[in-house]
Amino acid sequence: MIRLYFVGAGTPTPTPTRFGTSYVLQIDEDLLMFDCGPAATHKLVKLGLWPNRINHLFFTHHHFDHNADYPCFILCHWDQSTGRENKLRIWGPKPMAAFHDRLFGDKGAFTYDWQARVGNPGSQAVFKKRGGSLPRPKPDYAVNAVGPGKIVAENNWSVTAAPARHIEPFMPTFSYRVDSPQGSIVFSSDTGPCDDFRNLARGADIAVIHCWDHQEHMAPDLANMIMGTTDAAKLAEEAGVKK
Amino acid sequence: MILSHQGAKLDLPGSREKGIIDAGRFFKGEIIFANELMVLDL
Repeated sequence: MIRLYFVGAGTPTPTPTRFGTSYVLQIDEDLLMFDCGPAATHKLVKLGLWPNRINHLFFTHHHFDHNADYPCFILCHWDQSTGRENKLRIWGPKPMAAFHDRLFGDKGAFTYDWQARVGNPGSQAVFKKRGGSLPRPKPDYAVNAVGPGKIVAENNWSVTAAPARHIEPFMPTFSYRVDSPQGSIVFSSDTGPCDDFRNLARGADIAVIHCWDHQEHMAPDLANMIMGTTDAAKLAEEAGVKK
Repeated sequence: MILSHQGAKLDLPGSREKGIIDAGRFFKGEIIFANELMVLDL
């Protein structure tokens, strides 16, 4: 079974119906999350997806519309954990490790939060009532660097990354492809038309392509970093995307 | 093909339909306009 949840389908500009980007791809019992834009944690729950069920989180890049809810997601994931869930594995391009450390490391912005919850007797009581055992562990997450090529393979799926064309050299952006016996899906993230994404998308069953505006409204510099309607369509057709 | 991350102007009624029609001139498969909190069984 493959199911795709559109947690966030918007841009950095909030509207009543969209804000930021996040998707969850369910392949049987595994939940693969792509990006963690504004309010993603709350929107996950609205979709019936408890944060602790997420197995893997992949970041495409570190614009805030793709990562702003990361501290909330991790704190919620850790706070609700009893230690018996599957480990969450986190993947992302630079500055992934520094981003994580500046939030949750020894001098992290949210370290006062988890230190208080670990040490305060009332917080320990809530943790025990939830099913946890003392001493309460601190947040401990595996953060992995992403580069081009296959980055993770499990029994029934694999994820491959390819560089996108977005805001280099300020920071790298990656597109992702998920292959499984039940089909293949590519996530463009924010990218202008480029051979790396075209090749990644080659023959995919489904492509989720970020599309900012009507093509005639896309200024050249903007169209170089994200696609308009017909650029997205042309690329998908050239790549032989099936649906 | 699923279009997502749309800007506010493209997301307006009428504008969405034009976007799908324009894209359909170049992509021959099915085109879906993503909405937040949408769920698709693939």
